[in-house]
Amino acid sequence: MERCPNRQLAIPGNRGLALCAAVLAAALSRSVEGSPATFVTALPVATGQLLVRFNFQTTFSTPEFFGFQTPVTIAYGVIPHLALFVNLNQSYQSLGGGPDVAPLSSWAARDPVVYVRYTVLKIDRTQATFRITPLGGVFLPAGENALQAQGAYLPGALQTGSGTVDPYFGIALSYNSDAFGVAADATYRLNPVSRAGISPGSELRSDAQVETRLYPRKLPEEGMPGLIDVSLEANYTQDAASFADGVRNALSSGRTLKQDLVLEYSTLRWQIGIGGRWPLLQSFDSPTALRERFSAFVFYEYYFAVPHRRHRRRDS
Amino acid sequence: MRLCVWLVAVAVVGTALTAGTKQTAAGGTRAVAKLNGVFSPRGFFNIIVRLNQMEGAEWAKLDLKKSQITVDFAPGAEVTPESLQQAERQAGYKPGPVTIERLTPPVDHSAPGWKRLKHPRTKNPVARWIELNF
Repeated sequence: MERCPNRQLAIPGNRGLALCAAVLAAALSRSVEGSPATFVTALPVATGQLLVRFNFQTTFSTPEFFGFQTPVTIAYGVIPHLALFVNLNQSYQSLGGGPDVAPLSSWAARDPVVYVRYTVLKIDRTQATFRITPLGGVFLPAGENALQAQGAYLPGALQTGSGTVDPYFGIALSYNSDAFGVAADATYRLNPVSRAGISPGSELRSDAQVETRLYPRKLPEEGMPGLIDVSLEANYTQDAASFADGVRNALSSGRTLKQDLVLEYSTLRWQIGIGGRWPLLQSFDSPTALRERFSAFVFYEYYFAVPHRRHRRRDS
Repeated sequence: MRLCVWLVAVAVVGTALTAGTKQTAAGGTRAVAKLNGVFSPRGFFNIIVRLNQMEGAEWAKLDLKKSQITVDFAPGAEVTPESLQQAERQAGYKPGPVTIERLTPPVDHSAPGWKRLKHPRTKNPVARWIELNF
């Protein structure tokens, strides 16, 4: 095994070069990471509340792709209508390999995204709420978009960033009651073309979700029990063609539709969930593009209160 | 090592503070607020975050089915429907009606749904953070 000048990358020896050439032709900038595991929620974040969500997601794809990512989402309530979100992500991905061939792999921070979300409409009723929340922000170029092996760029699935500051905007809406909820979002990541390296194409995402309470079927007269919910989520992604060193790769665009099934348990201060994802549609211009087979994920969410000021001691 | 000792001390003090009596002293005030838009435990926590900022709020009872929160205040605390509604608003929800009554002893907080509210009083902001959240 040789070491690439870039410390984040392990590359195979000469026997892996044939594999490099093959995968470079295919899926030049396609990422099979799927959803950032952060379905954009329209639900409120209280002023002074800090929400931290830890995710772990694995992905298995053809041919011989394996990856996992560990996104951490942090949300802070600035004012009742405005929340600030930061999504940090670290990932490992491995491609190819076999009895005599070492896989290509990389392990690095991906591009973080920072955005604000503003509630433009809320209709609150007893045990029900409907909300519409536009959002906007940027992806920052912390990841790598020019990882190389033997003088050639690695395929997009092993790159960890876009190389540019990418505007990001969208809208989320939701209706939730104590028995069920429906939600949807649509976001767009505008990826400018970088001078060097691989520039992934701009990405349109649209998600829809329905969830219902499994337990307890009937709420107790008083108190607040822990709740078990089941959620079905559809994720549609449309990627525009990518660029390599400013040259458009015509066979790099594609569309995917994936289905998630998630089981969640929520309490006053935290929520935990486990889920699986199956592809329903994978339409790529390139016949050799990476195709996802299955993805599994777990997440844990914890809510913090931020102390604003020191309370006075009372004499009693 | 000193940090560990310090963290353990904070945890012990926090436990001692929260493990106190489950009663509010006689002469206190009870506010009952009907909630709008709250359908899950997370929604109740949004409101708890704001109640932690209210001076004198000692206990809160969370009733999901009734979509209602009951807050007991210490004797002498200034309580108005508007202050509760402001807390709901800052939590991101449309406030509902609030009724206020005087508490008569004995007041028991052992029923399901009662939570002791935390009001960190230490000078150290990190200790206040830990006391508030753990």
